[in-house]
Amino acid sequence: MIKIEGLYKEYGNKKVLSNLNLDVKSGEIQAVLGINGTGKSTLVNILAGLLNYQKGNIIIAEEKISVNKYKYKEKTGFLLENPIYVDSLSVVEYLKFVSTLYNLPILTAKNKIEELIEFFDLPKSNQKIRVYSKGMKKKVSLAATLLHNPKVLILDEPFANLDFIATQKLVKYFDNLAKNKCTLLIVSHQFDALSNVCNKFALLKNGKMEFNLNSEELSNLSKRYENSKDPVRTYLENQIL
Amino acid sequence: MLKYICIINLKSFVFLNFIAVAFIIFFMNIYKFEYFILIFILYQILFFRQYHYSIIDIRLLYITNADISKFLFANNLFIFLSFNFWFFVGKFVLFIFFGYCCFIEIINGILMFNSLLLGSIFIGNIISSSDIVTYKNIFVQYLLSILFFNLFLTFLFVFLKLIYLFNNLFFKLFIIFIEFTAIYLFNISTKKIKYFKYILDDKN
Repeated sequence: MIKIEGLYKEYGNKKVLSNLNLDVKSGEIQAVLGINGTGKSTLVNILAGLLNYQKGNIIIAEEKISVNKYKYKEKTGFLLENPIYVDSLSVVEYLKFVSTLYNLPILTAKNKIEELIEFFDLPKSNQKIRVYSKGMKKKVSLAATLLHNPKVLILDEPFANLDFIATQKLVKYFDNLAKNKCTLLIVSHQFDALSNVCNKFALLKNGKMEFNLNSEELSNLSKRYENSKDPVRTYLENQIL
Repeated sequence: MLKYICIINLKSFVFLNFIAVAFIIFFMNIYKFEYFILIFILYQILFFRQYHYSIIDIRLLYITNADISKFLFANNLFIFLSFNFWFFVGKFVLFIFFGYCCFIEIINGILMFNSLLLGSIFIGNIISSSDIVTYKNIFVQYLLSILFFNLFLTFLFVFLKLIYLFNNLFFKLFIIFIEFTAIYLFNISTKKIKYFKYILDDKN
């Protein structure tokens, strides 16, 4: 469902992504980990078609993508690092607006909006989005991403600014989506939230893919740190550094 | 989509447009309507960078695969209607306070105002979706945009002045109709535009 082959991206003379390869199959949840400035958000922006890239191939939902290819976006939901919302609208107005952008039928949109408002515990009042907290704005942006029942989800830091309960609920929601054959690519540096839900863990370091392991392989490699409280986390920290 | 874009613009820009139009009315009252062009030259950035200043994050339109031609149309419609609304309010207020009203002068003023407004919207749309916005040097971008905008507007102004010499209302209305048609056809042609070129900003 998401296939990246030999992806190169440079900003001027600065290499940001170098020979990146990734293959995420239908129903899988792929985590892309890494510290700040390793090219995680650049990867998401390229997948969203917001940035050009120099070399490589990207296939999403069976479509080879580039900046002027757009059909795959009908089946894909994107959450960017800085959440998008229209702060002069209320939550319900904003979700209705996004549903019109996706050309959703009115009744389908209405039911989905009610479902997402209930799930994310969002306010139905007429208050503008601008008055809400960062966490609430993130939830609004997440709800908008899920509005059109995407088959592929590409999420940049979905747990940032969310409280513990919302994070746990979201993890379960992602798990259910994957069981229904949705493909998820989650870019984050919060390993704790991802550890229970992802099938594969890729580590980006200086724009290069350090490894891409499944949970079992990661546990095996972490055995040498079994004296530590959280061996996998310790292993990852050592790899990152 | 049209409904929500108009609501968002209405909530955010309607009073800014009021200030812009109030300045035009003020200018018009002191000088003659012929000097409208100076106001549009002053506000040109509103037209050729209108998507940069849009309250809607363009990335939202892009990642949702929204129909950008509808967005262009709604934005243009909003600018046109709000400028006209405040223009008529201003004229009405002047009439209440000063009472002086020369019908032919008002009609000429309205036609000149709308001709330059539609011309500004039209050239603004063309510049916003042209290759000019892909120049990495922001100075070159602005220089070319300003050059094209002012050149076009000056031609339009001279053309309108020549038409006004004939003093034929139907002919003036015909010119307005041509401008409307040009904008309408441009909005149809933008159906092929699925992305704004400037969004591919490799410098960030």
